Amino acid sequence: MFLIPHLGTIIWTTIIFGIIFFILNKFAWPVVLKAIEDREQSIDKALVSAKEAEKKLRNLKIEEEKMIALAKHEKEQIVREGMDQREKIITAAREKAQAEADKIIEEARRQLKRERELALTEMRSQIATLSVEIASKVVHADMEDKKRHEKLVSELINEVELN
Amino acid sequence: MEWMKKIIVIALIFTVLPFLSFAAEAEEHGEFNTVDYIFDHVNDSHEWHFLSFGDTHISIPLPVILHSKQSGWHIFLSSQLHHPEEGFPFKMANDGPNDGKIVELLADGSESVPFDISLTKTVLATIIVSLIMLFVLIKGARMTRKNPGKAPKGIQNVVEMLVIFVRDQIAKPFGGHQYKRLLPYLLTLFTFVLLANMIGLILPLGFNITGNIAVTFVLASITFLITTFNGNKHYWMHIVNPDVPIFMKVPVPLMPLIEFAGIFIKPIVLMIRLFANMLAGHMIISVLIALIFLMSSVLNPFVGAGISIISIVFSLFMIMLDLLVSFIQAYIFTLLSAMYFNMATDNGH
Repeated sequence: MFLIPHLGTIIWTTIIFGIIFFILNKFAWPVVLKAIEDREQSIDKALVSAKEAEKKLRNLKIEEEKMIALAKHEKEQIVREGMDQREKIITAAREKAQAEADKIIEEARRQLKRERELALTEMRSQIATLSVEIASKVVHADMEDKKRHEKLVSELINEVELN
Repeated sequence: MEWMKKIIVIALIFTVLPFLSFAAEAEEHGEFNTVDYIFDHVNDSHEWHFLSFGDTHISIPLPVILHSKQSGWHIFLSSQLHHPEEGFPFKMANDGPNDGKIVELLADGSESVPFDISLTKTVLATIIVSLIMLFVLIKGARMTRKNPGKAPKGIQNVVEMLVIFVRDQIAKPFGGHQYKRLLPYLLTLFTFVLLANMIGLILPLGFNITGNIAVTFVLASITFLITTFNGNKHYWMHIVNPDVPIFMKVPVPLMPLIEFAGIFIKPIVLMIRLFANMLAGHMIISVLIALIFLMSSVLNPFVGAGISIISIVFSLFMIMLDLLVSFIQAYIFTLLSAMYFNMATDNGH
């Protein structure tokens, strides 16, 4: 007898199931389903944005490293340039000083040469004058005495030496 | 371990008590009648029976609603059937072709069976299950609405777990591309079947909702109607002209006939599977307990007492198994409904 469905129970069950389906379909399922879907979406979104943030952070780090490398490179370049500059300045200064010194030495040398030439000219003219004087004196003393003559010459020589 | 002991004691009480009551009733008629005892437990009835001590019955009479061709509508409590007033025309037939039905005694002395739309124990149980469902699910939905963007808690967790389970494990993988349309039905179906199965396991209540073929008939019929009315061209073409070798279709349309029968066989199998599983679970427990009284009656009470230990251990095991079966059957019923819907709405591969 339990194998034959009872019509009264069928009717009741249909009515009850219909009512609960209607009520739940209106008040329970859409609310819960929507809430779950919303939550899933927000979780998905959060995950995606977290991944993006991570990516951004990684990019930032890479950029930072790049910038640091660049700065280091620039610093090295500047230092190197500075050293080069220094070297150049020193070299230039040295060359200039050398040239100056050479010039001064040359000048001095030229001066010396001129002085010497001047002195030689002077000496030459004086020697000529003196020679003439000596000659005249020798000629003059020769006239009087031989002894005196010699004496005069030696005197004259001494005089020349003194001069 | 303290709580476990308590649970075992409560489970024992719940297991044995209702059967004691049925046993007492079955023994009233003299000898212990095992068949009556078992069928009394699994069958529907017009009263909600808890306990019996000798002649004292603790039961709630339920309203009987009848429509008789001769005398129109009648509404009365089932207690009147047991203690009828003078000239009360209805009585419960205990034998003959109308065994177990309410019959009306006509003026000429003959009996006729009126149309019985009584609020029976199964109907009451269905109403109770529905009220629990409505209360829990609407409360859960309200909680969900109240705190969006927060972690769920309490009843909301249960409701969401249920919804996610049905959606992700049943509807999405098996319901086809139109599964969202079917989702409310699947959710209602799964919740109802699961809860109805489980409330049947609380033995003192004596409910047997999904073990009643009328209930599973209704559920399977709804699935059948949804499937049939949503069937698209592809689905019907598959039935009329299935993709099989030509000799299977001409001259005898063997496969089309089988496919056509399949339309009806599928929901019938659905109906019987759930019904038989739940009925069998209840019956096995009933048989195990009946063994105690059978032994007491046939041999002597001490043998019965000895058997009772084994019976109770086995019935506890069966109840645990039925808990699993309750879930599995709810799952299968919903799953197959989803698959039939998928078959009907699929556009072909």
